[in-house]
Amino acid sequence: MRNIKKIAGRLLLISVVLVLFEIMVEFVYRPYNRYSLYAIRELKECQGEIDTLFLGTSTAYRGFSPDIFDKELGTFSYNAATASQPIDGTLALLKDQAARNPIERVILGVSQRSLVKEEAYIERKEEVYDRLLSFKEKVSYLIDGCTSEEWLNLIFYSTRIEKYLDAGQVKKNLAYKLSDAYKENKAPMETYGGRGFLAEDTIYQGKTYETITKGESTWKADEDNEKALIEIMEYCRANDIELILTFIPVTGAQINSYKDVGAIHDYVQALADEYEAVFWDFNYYVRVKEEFSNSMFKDKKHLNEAGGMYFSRLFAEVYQKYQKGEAIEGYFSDICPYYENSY
Amino acid sequence: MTINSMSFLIFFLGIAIVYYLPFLKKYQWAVLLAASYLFYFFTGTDNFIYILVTTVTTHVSARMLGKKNNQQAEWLKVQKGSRTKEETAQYKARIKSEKNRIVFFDIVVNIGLLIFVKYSNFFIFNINRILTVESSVELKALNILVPLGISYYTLQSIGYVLDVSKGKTQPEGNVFKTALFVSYFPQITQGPIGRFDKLAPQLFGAHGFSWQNLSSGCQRILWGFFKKTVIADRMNPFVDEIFLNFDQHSGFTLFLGCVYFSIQAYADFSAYMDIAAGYSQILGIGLEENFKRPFFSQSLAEYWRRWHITLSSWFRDYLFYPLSLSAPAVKLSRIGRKYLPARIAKLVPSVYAMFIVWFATGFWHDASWRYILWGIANGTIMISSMCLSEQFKTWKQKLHIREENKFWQLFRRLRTFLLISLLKVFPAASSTGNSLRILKRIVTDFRIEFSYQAWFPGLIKNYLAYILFGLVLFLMVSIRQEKEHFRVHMERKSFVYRWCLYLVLLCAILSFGMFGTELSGGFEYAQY
Repeated sequence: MRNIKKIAGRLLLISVVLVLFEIMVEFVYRPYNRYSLYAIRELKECQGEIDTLFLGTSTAYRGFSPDIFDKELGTFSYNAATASQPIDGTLALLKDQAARNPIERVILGVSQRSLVKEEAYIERKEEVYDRLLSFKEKVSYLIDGCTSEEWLNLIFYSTRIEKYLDAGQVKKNLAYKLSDAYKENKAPMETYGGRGFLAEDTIYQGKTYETITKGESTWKADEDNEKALIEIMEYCRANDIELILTFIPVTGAQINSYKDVGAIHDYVQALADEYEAVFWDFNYYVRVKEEFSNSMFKDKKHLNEAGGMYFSRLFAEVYQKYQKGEAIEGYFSDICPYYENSY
Repeated sequence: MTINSMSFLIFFLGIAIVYYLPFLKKYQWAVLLAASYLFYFFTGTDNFIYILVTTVTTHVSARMLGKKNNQQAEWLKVQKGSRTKEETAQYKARIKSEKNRIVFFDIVVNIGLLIFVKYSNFFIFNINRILTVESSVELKALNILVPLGISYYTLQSIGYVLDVSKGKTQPEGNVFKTALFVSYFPQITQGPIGRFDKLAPQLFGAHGFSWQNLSSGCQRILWGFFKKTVIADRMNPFVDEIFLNFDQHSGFTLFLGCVYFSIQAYADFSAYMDIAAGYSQILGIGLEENFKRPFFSQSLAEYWRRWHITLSSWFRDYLFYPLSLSAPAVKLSRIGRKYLPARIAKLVPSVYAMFIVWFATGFWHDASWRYILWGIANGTIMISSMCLSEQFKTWKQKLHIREENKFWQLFRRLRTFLLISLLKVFPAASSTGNSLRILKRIVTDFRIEFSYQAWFPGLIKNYLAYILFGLVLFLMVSIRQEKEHFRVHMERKSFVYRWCLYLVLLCAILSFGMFGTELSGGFEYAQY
């Protein structure tokens, strides 16, 4: 008994010191000018109120503006998409938020890359892990979604810092974090559009495509990613959450690099049909070429500020009609408009 | 699952809890055996057969040898007074020959297995090189996965059999206990190579929970993790960079690369030993020490008494001594006396044994010519210094150099360290050809440079600061350890001082250590 008390005492001491150390390190070293810092703080503030959750990869956090969506539909939404979000991470975020909020609908911006990729980079897992608010989900994500070598990186922020001796960055971090603006959770950069939405005003200057000749498709979804996607669909079905799978528009240049966008589309469509989810592919949007020109993108596959806001309105419009039971088939073509002429 | 992973930590916690359950006290050895086999299972089920064969042959051989020993003792007792000296000698010779046959069988099976899994492809590769000169015939390489820790547990098992044969230790009657001795999990991947008389009583005995063991075990684990993550893993990328792109670096940088590799290898290997010994200590089982601050050695011979001690002592006891007393050594000595000065002739058996031992040491490390060359180079230097020792004494007298002079000692330490580092060119390079190319470049293109890129190619400056912090701390602790055991030193300090130090070390590991990449994880010596 004496030994148990002794061990418990030492463990408590270690835990307290580690927690204090981690809080201190995170405060001093987490860059003040990254949108995720503010997005996570907002996520914590919004708990208990979110009814609409956006999930997915970077195309999703640049594509869905919760502000616009809420204005158009009267919802309370939050964009929890993260860069190259691993699909098992999406599932973890969904479960975490569904347990803490009255989630009614989930809009999942599926990306071709995240379906294919076998193992996500640790930085991508960190973004998911940081957004998980419950201890239970954090632990289960560590066990199910990460290797044991990655655990320390995810649990301890101090292990992620590369430049401890960067006094300049520390000074800037502290200066901002000790200001009133930080206390009010005001992000210092204009690109942050609130509740997880990132809006950059850069314009993509790449090649414009009118028509694309189809290449040979070698596309195949990774087995584990497929399993996680099915689990998301089953979870939503079981918990009475409306799930909309969607492809957010990308440039013609990006469509061209997919070789066969039809194969990816058909794959998700088949899954959605099987598990009673809704699937809207905005690369099949009838006016995608006209309305989503290069000026709507910041690079090959990410919408910029104008593009994101335009797309959010368009999505809200389609959703509104869908909700009212009106026909929405007219929005989508049977084949990707970029491929139209080659068929 | 490596010993420095989080999964191992969790695995170990589970084992430790079960191990210390009061009603299992009598069966703690069985818990350890189950844990060892579970640990081994996680590394790949295909490897089980090899360790099982080693366990069974070791057990059977030891038992048979034990019987022979008892038979002889019984005979000598019964026949006391009624036997002649000749009869005794004859009987002993017969028993010895029978025992030799058993030992021979055990060595053939176990070394045979080791050769089969570890060295087959080396032999096939070399035979092919000879064959392809004359014909297009080519032997196919075997697709064999080298079982985890086979180099270590094979030597440990053979050592046990040889000890039983010599009557130094009694054979274990329970095959499961032998299995535990062969497979004890904290040490199976990288040693230390334990001796039965020291390890077995601890493994098979009952241990009550001890706060002292837990405390010192955790201290060692913490220190091991510090060396592994802050020094070894941080140094790994840029040391690799130097040797992988050796053609882009000058001889000076390559020489520095050898020095860095030497430090990195020491930090890595000794970190493993600390972690393994720490875990074992928590279970109340003390492992043999494998390092005694080798970089403070004043000669290569001393270095090998301080570096990988259990391997060096294994080769000394089970190969060097028998070889230097063997018939060929005696014969060589006789021939030497005819042609060489008496002082040198006296050394012939040792030279003969040393050469074989160093060849074997190199070959044991890896099935490649570069390791054989590394072993031979070590042996050659030691043989030369042994033969020239009288000469050195004369020179020192003429130069009025006193052994106890601090500067002389410092010079010797530095010289030994640089020599060891230079020899590391063989293990550090990716192939024998590359090691020779690097060596050539060091000799022909050595010009001291003062740019950051020449000293630390590809190393981020922040990382350099972390490494230097780690190395300074490592050096300070090592200097203190030369005077007294660090634990003894710590015990004199107050609780607050000690715990501040532990917590700073823990925070330093998290902050300056390297985690979550492919580079951190495995230990270099686990490949041997």
